[in-house]
Amino acid sequence: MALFRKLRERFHDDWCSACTAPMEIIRKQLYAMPEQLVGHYTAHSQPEYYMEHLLPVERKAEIPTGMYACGIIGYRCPQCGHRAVKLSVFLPVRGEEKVEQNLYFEHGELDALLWSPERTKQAPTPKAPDTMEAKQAIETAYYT
Amino acid sequence: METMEKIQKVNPLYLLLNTVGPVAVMVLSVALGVLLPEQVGLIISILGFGLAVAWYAVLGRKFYNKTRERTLAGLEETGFVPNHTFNADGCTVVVDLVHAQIALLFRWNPTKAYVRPASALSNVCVDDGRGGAGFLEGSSRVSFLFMVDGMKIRVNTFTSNKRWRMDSDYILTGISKADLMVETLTAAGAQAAK
Repeated sequence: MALFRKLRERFHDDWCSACTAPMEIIRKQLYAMPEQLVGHYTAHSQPEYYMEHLLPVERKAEIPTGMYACGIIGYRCPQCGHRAVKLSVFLPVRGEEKVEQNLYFEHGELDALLWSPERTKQAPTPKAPDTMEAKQAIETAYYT
Repeated sequence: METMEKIQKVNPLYLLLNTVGPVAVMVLSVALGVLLPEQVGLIISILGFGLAVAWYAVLGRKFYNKTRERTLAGLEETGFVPNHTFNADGCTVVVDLVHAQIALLFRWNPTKAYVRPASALSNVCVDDGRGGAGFLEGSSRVSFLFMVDGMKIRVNTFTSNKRWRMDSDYILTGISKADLMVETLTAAGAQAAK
């Protein structure tokens, strides 16, 4: 199942899981994640976490350096009416995106976040800074 | 709080004890192993040899980490507020945004933290290490650099023994960390200039 999910994520994230018809985008929103800074990323899969910690922003440029972002796309199938939400957590770096995880919610878990009118726009402010470590990828080179 | 002592990246005694010290212990234990009676000598030589190997493998790094933590704790006691701390292999950079200061602590001189006003920093920039052309383009090191007291300090945010594509996760993470540190150092410098 994980393989199918990854393939769908890679090639057809807009396919309806019920009838496999291409779904239409009904909502798109970008969020900043002030709790998640580079070097301190912790994966979360519970929708409650995202309900609490996301701040809506208009553009990627509004997200401070080193802060993770989250893109949410709401889909609706025009054939069967099935709805799904794709949540993508990524680190914006100089126009590139380092994707950390993609999550799908198909039971309206994030509806309150996406459609609630009282969620006003708040400017993201970086969390209190932390200690960071340099990352190393030392791999042995093999010669034949 | 500011120490105007000349920045010394390497403490020769500390470096010597860390590099040659274990070899000396190894040689001494082997010599004792030859001189002392069979079983006692064997045990001493194995223990000495093992200690030296363990020092190079694990203990040296642990000792450095402990010393660094002790030095940073001492720094905090003087009123320095460590808002941002970046630990790299060769150097630790701590930024105090409250007093607009930075502290530097080096791998081969971890007992001393050099505190400078953030306004003393110049040429703060990111080096993404981009090299090669075409499909070979990539980097094996991302770092941020600055000049302080006429000395160039390079702090690696990512190092590798092979070249990675510029859009690889490692490089992007390294660039993001370096960008964040450059932004923080620049902000501290602007605050100090006020």
